[in-house]
Amino acid sequence: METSWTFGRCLLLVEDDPSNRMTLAALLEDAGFAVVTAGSYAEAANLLTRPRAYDAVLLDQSLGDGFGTGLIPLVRHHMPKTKVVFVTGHDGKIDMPVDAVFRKGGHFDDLLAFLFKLLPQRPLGA
Amino acid sequence: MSGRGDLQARERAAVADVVASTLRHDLRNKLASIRNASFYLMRQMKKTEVWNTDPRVEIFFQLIEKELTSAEELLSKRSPPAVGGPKPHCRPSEAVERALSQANVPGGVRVQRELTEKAEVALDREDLAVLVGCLVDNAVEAMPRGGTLTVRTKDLEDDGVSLRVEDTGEGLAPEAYSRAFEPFFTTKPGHAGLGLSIVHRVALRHGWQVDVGAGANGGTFVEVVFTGPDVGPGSRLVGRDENQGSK
Repeated sequence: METSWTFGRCLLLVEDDPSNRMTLAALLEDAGFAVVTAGSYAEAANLLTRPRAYDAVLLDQSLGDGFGTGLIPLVRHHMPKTKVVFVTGHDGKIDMPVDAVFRKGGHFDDLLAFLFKLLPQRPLGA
Repeated sequence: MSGRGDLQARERAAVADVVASTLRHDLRNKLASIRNASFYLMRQMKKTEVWNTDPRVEIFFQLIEKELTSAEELLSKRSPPAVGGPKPHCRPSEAVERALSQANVPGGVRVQRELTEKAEVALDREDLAVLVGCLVDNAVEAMPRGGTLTVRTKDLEDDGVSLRVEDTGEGLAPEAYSRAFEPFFTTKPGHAGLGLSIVHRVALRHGWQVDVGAGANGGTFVEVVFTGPDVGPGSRLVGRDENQGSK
C-alpha cells in the first residue's frame, strides 16, 4: 500500500491463532513490512536464534506450547535493538518487560500508527 | 457467613470469573480476525469497479465495522468496583488454616505446615482461603496414592510474603509447566483445569508473582509471592515462629 517508512522493515509476528496470524500478516505486508510468522512458542524460539534483524517482534501471550513472555529473554539476548510489542486480548494490567503493549481488537490503522511511533526513524534505505 | 457454603460460593464466583475472562479473551481474538479480514477485503474492493457501481458494498463494510465495535463494547462492560470500607487484609497462615479445615484431604496424604509469616497481605481471608484451597486441591489430586502435602508461608527479606504448596506426586511433564496456568488445561481426567488459573488470575490482578516448578521431592510446587504496598506488618503480630506440626 503506502509508505516509505515501512519499506525494508521486518517484523516477527508470533500468534498461535491461525486466523489472527493470517489476517494481521496480510495487512502488515500490504502496509509494506516484510513479515515472518510463527504459530507456536517452539517455532518462534527457533526463529529467534537465527541471525535475522527484526525491527519488532509482535508477541501473543498464550501460545499453546508456552507463554510469549518466555520469548522475551531470547529477543533481548539475540536482538538487543529489536522492539518487543505485546499484543494481547486480555484486559487486565500488563506488567511485563516489553517495549509496548497493544490491545487486540483495535483498528489496524491504530496498530500502524502505534508502530510508526515505536520504531526509530531512519533515513530511507538505511 | 463463615461456613463451608461461603467458601464454595466464593469458589464458584472465582470459577465464573476465570471462565468469563477466558471467553472474553477468545471472543476478542475472533473479532480481531474478522475486523482485520474485513479491513483487508475493503481495501482490495476499493481497487475494483464494484466499489463504485454498487454502493451497498461500502455500506456493508461499514455495517460489519459498526457491529464489531458494538460487540467489543459489550465485551468490555464491567460492573463497577466496590468502593468504600477498609481495605481487606489477612495473614496468609490464617487463610491456610481455613482452607485446610475445609479441604478434602484423604488419609494417605500427610499434611505438613511450616507457617512462619508475620506480615499481612491485601486480600480478604476467605478469598485467600479459596486461593489456597485451589492449590491444596491441586496438590492432593496429584497424589492419588498418598504422599506429603507441605504448605509453607514465610516473610521475605524485601517485605514480601511467600506462600508455597508442594506435593510429592509424580510431577508434571516439562512442557506442562508452561501451560499450567491456562484455563481448562489439566493433566487429570475429569478435572476442569481451573484451579491454577484462578490463582494466577488473582495474582495478576494484585501484581503478585506465581511460580510453578518441580518440587524437591519429585512432585510439584506452586509458590505465590505477595508483594506491593499493601503487604506489610499486620495489626496483630502474633507470629508463629515454629513449625505447626503435621495433621
